Amino acid sequence: MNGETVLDIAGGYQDKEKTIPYDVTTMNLVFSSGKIPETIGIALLVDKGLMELDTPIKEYWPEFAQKGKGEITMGDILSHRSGAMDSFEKTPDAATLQDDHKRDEFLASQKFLFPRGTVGYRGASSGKDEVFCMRAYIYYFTTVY
Amino acid sequence: MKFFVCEHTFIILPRCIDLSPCRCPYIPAFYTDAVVRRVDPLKRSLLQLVQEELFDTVGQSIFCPPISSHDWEGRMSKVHDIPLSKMMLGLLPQLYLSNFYRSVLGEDHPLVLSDSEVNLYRNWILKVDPNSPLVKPGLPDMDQGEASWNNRSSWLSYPMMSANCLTNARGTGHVFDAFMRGKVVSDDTLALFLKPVGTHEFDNFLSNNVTYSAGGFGIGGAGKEGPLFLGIFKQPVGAECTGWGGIGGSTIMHCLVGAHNVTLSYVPNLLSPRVALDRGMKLLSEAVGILLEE
Repeated sequence: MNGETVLDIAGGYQDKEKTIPYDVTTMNLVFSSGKIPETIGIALLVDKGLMELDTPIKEYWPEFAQKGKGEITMGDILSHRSGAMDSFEKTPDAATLQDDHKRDEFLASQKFLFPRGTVGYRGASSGKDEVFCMRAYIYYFTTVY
Repeated sequence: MKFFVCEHTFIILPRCIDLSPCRCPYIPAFYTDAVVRRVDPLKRSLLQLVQEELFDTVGQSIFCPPISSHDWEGRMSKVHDIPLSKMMLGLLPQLYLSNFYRSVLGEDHPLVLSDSEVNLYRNWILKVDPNSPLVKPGLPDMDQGEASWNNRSSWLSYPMMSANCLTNARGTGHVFDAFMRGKVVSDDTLALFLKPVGTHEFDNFLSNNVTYSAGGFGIGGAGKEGPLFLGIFKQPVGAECTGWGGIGGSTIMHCLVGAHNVTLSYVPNLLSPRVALDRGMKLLSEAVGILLEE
């Protein structure tokens, strides 16, 4: 509050066996809360005059302009209106995503599936998660029982 | 309470691997990292930039994949999935019987999903709207030995700042607090990133009206007007809040409460059916309410 920490607490356990206490230094996945530091990182570059929110990304990364992405800006991406939302045109494999060069090549080659300006959270993709588990449970209880 | 995690599910229910594509929370955050590596004079990754220029300055850490098994032995906690009982009794039926649940339990019950969450999950799980972005393809499914999420090694094998990085409430809170109080960038840059882009616009992915800032933060509103997080966090009248959260409940927000700058950060390691964890949201909302009263 006003720059002063007034409360800093943690409780519970790190593990489901409840053997390792969870304290204020424990870290875990924060999922989309990572957008906060992501955006601030971009703000640092904008503040230094190294990037502008309304400059097309192709000015910094020419290959990005492929398949109609020439006018898309970093501002579009951050404010959830680039048209990318949750999807790639093609599904990448993990090896592609693990290598900076291959990943960039793949990213540049992708068409965004929705028109620029479409408001849509950058939020989901194929995969399986706790929501998947719900489907699994539906499947399980409707086919096994 | 027994935790029932996805990994166990796959062991118990191997046939579910063959189901049609399901969904995982994932943000195509790769683009920001790719641009940062080209723009930063030191050619740092987004993670390096953020760690060195943000988290280091407040004495905190952020960690992005790849994550080895050794890393888990330290101060990193795995995220635990929604308990089976909560899933079966508290969530799935609401996709069909949301009004019944509300009438029995009351709208404020922690298990009762908001309209936005019901819409989101119905599109996500039941695919009721074939035009929804939620039915489009994306990352490979984890069970093909490729990408995945949560605690799986394949999901945690490549860095996505806004999807699969690890930190804590203290770190995110300090960083966001410094940013919002103008300690990180100039006032002009701060204003640029906080400027609203549209008002109460319909988000095609979230199936909800959201007000985003130019930097992508959610901008709050009182009651049902422009809720910060899908109608869960009801911004108290008199406060102005900005922030965002992650599925399952992590939440970081900054509120102007009268003349006071208040930053609140909450990180759980147990997922919830709620898009934003009911418990965390209640805590943060009540904290703001108490400050308003005082």
